[in-house]
Amino acid sequence: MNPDPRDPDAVHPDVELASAYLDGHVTSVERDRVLTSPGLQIQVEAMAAVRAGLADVPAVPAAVREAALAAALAAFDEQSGSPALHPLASVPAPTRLVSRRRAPVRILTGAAAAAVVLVLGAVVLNSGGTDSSSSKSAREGDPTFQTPQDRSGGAEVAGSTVAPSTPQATIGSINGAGEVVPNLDHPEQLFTMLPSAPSTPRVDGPPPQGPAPASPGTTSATDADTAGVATSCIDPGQGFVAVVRYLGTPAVVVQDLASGARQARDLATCAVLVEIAS
Amino acid sequence: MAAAQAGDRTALDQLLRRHYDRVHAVCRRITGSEADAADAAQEAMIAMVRSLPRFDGRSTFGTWAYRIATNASLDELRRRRRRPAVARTDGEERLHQEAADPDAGMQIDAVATRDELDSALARLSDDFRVPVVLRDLADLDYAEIAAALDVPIGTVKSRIARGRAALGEALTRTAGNQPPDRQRPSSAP
Repeated sequence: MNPDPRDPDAVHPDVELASAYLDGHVTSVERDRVLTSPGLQIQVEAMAAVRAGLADVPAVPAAVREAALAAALAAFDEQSGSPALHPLASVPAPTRLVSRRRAPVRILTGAAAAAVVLVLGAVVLNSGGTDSSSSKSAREGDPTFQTPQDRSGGAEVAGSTVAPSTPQATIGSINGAGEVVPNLDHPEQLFTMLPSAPSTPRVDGPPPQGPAPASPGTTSATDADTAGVATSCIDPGQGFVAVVRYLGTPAVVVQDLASGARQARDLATCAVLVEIAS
Repeated sequence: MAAAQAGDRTALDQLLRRHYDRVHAVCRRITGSEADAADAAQEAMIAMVRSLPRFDGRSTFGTWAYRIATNASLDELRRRRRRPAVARTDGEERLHQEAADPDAGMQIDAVATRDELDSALARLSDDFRVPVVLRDLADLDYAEIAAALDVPIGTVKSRIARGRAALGEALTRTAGNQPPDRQRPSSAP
């Protein structure tokens, strides 16, 4: 039977049989026919020679191979967005589960810190340092501030004020000079306060009563006076440490120069709010 | 394979490296040109990287890779044919006719050397050359070739038979008609 010449896929049955025999796609009857036909045997041998010739491919030049692999890996890097210079360098270090779990917390903490910095920066820019007119502007825009005219009975101290009854900020309040008054909740936190410089935030309070001896690690009452801090709450033998809010109450932290104990005293009444030994 | 698919670059490098030579060989046989094979094999490698996330494992990676290599080679051939110098068109047409009629392959001027097998392959039409290469070089079975080329298995079987017959006859007759000096192309000094 000859193939249909109009069919491009038509093939002579013997040719197809020889090819199928080479591929092992024959029945036992067909195999016997190939093995007993010299003509088919010749066809099979010719096709086997073709197969061997096709498999004999010249070796690929190393440069060609490496170029192709480099291009493919570059495509991978582009696709994954992780450029790497060397295959080993690209092995992703395993991310620890704990780190992954902490990641959102770190992100939120960072965002909160950034927000605080932005707010502080904006306030500082608006307040303009210790300039009286700038301070006034800041006070007018901040409900936590009182102008000297608003206050009754309180001694006016140059600069801003901290009103005892004003709402409290979570992480501290901002004074007219653009400084943060720490908000303390526990006695132990008194020892976290570093002695303030003379530019310590100035607060309202009773008039000064007298100087106190200075000691290392504290600011003397004289220095505190200079800074405008209410020193009336500082007894002789005590040193000024810082102005804070203790449990929401404006307070001055003082330190006993002999024992090192610290107290938080109500700025309005000088009452000892808390005391903790060193 | 799984690691490469998951994005492990080192695993991907090893996977591609393991298959590159065979992919290049397929491209070499289909395009018939070293330069075109290099281009096609590189394109195939890039295509594999981009398609790897969608590889579903229904075929072996090799079958999948050869299918991509085949397509890259045919694309390269199409690009080559669009270039101004198309010197081999006549030959291709003649070999296409010879493939359809194995008895007409008497005039093939090829010898049983590697390069001349390339030449004989190049003159075979894509419809016959590609199945033969995928069967005899890539070692794909009929079903895999049918899937790769999207043609029925019966068509694959007949095209392989005709392609082999055309090549075999060309090689046999050429060897028989070789002048002695052509049977030893690398003559001794």
